[in-house]
Amino acid sequence: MTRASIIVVSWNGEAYLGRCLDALLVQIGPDDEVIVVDNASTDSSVALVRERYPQVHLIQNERNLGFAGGMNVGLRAAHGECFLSVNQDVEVHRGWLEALLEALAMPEVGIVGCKLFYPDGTIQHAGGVVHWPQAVVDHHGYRQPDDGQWDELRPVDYVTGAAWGFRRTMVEQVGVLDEGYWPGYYEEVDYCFRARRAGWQVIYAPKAMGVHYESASLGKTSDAYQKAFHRGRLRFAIKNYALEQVGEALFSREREYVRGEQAAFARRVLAPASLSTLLNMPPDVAIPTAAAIPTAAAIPMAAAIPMAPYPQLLPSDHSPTVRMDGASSPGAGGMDFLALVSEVISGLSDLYLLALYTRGGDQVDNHEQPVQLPPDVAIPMAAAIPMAPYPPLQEHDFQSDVPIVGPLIRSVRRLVYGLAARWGVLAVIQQQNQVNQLIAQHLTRLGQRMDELDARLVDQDRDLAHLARAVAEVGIRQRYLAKMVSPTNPADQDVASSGASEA
Amino acid sequence: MRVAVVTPLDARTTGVADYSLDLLPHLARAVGADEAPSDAAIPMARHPSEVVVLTQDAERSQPECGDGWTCRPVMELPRLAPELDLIIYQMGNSPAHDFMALYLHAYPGLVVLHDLSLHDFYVRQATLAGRPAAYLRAFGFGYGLQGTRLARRYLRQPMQIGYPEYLLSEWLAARSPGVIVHSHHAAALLGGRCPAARIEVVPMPMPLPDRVASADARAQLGLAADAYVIVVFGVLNLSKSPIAVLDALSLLLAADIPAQVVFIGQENSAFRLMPEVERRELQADVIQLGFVDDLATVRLWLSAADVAVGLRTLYWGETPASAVRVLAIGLPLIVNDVGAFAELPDSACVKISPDVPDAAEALYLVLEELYREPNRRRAMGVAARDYIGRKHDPGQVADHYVRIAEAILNG
Repeated sequence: MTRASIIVVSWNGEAYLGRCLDALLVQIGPDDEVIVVDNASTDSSVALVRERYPQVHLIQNERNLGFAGGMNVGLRAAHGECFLSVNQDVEVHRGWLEALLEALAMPEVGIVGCKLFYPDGTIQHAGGVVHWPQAVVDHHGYRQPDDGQWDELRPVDYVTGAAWGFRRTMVEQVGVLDEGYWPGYYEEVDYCFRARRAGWQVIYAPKAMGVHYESASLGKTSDAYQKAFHRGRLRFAIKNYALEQVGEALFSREREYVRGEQAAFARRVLAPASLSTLLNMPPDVAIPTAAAIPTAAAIPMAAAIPMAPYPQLLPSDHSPTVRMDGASSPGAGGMDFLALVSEVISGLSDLYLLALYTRGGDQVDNHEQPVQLPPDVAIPMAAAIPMAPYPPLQEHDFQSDVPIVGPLIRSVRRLVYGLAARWGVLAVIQQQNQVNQLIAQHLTRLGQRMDELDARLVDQDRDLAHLARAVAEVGIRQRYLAKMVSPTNPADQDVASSGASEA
Repeated sequence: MRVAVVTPLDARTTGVADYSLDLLPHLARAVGADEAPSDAAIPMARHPSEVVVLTQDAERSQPECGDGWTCRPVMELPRLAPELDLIIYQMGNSPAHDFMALYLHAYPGLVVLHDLSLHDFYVRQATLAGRPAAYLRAFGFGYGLQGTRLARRYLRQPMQIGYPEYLLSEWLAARSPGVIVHSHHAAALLGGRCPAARIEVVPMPMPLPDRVASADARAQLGLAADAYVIVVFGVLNLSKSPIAVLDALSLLLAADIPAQVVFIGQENSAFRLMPEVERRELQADVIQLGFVDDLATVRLWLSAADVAVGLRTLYWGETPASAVRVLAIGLPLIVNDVGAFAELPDSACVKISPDVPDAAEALYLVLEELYREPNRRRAMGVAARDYIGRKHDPGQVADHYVRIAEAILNG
């Protein structure tokens, strides 16, 4: 039986992968296996593994499945009792493997995280905390020198997926990682919360250490990173918060957040992140229960993170999740569940539009002083953009009635124009003209596509409105009838007691 | 039947508060009726009956509680909803209704529309409450792709929209199990835009007030006993034809009729009355009261008046509450022949076409005729009170509400 399967998900990691595998291979025993899952790299990392590490089990994906997708491929191929994983840019210290396996030997532990360092020796991660209510994550010990202050093995909210381990029995119970977080970010937070909900402990093991070079394929200041981060954050909250928490706590804070942010950032990052979350709603969500709502006071801020006890965002009863498509019953109050799901969708829509159209703090002022548009541009909007083909550029000959000087200027101008403008400027302008035409055509197509999508949304909304009414009417009648037949109905009790006395 | 009524109760912010306070005692009686109507499939007597009023500030509104109904904060609606048979929303376009936004769609019920145009309501949701999706969806539902474009454009930069050409109440009407409006005109307008909605016409409740004797009222208000007092009511804007009223007053004075006009109602931001009054040198003959939040004071002025004028050239389906209140006092009423006003009884009202070439001249002729015929004025007043007593009795209105509720509950 294989003791441990170590999975490395790789993507264009030739600069780091050798160092990563070297550090792993010196630690493994004959009962362990190393699996490299390549996410369709275009560099030489596959050849590197083949040539230098024949003992490694290499799996090549045909396309980039993201971190969660790559991990899941590795998990399905793994044979170990324990599954460990490191990023391609992590170089683990000696003793890492044994420290993780030692922690996983505790029967209640499902997931174990590591102490990771930056190359300069400061701490990058010593377990993580999820802040209420916006689900912003923080690393314990972040950028601190390692003075032993994070050397206690203990439960945490989550551990980073850059280097972690979990037991097979937990995976069999909880399932694999959610690939909806593509390309990455928050999938490990989500996985830790799912494990905790299933009753497993998520702990931080300080003896399992490594250096994270953080080659991050998306630079942390890039819009692409920010979009993926916020998309993951929203998806995580919707999946893991009780539904009523999403509506009441998350979105009200998100609206404040958007209004406080720079308008450009909101439009560039938060709007697409919200829209993407809306279009890729997770199939399962936490069950709505008031017991799941933590008080703000119960959630410590990053600056005041105590050694213990740690915040418990999840309800203590480990409430099961229910599926958005209603595949499993939400228990009591099915109508309320639908209302809550509807509220989540509306909240995301509001967040998207608010971020898209935010103008900083001037919204109300603008509303006070509306702009009067000429009626002909009010509708349709497309008419405001000149989409007609540009006319070809015309050469205009110089004209002058002045004798002698005029024809002279004309001749000189023709000569200069023929040499410089016709072969230089004119060509450049015509090229720019063509580019402009292409942009205009593209914008026209985008506008048409947007119109098509809007028209579909309107149609669907009309269907939804009629469906909502039908559901409401059925719900009203269902409650009414249920009350009619309820034995606790006081009127029934009166009837029953009078019947008994008559008998 | 257990019914929740979600309504504003602060009369300083909306007339809907008075509407609800007039209706609630009667509604409580109606839902508590211990015998089911003969045609109901399910006997109502099997239910504990109650009217719970949910409002923004239940504590402030608590003293308003009456027989048979209690008042709770609206935030308790999610907790109460599973125990309720039906939720009734008293919905309008003013900020007084903004607190309902979170509940209207999540807990659908019977919606009483006091304004057919909800544009301002959704704009406030988009700009002040940070919930723009509802604005976009309401526009898209009612007006398709063009509506969506217009809403997007507005969200990018607020602009003048053909308000209230775009009702935006279609979405709410289509999603709600039932809608109540107060005139056939409003029902036709909304029904034409939203054929799938279940729309019922119910008169607004209006108790018949005790009328103060005209002479006493004039003495209290310092009005001359022989003056021809004309009351103009409602929010003052150009669609209410205040200029025509002033010009008609000038004509009356020129004809040696001792006319005096009293304007009751606040000016909107686009119109100022007094400069127009001064331009015509009518300062001595015009009294502008502005908004009067005390109903007793309004009734005193109405009691002192000889005739009321409620002209409006544009009408978009809102409840003609002020006109009904004037008729309840027993005052002859002059209106334009539009919308819900056209449905008022001819025996109590004179209706002027909105298309007359000279509105001032037309109004002058009617006022002059009524001045010369005090008996006709008295007969119109009697007819007005009789009409309100028959059509707008709060008890009957409450029964009508319950019949609609039963129809929804019984399918």
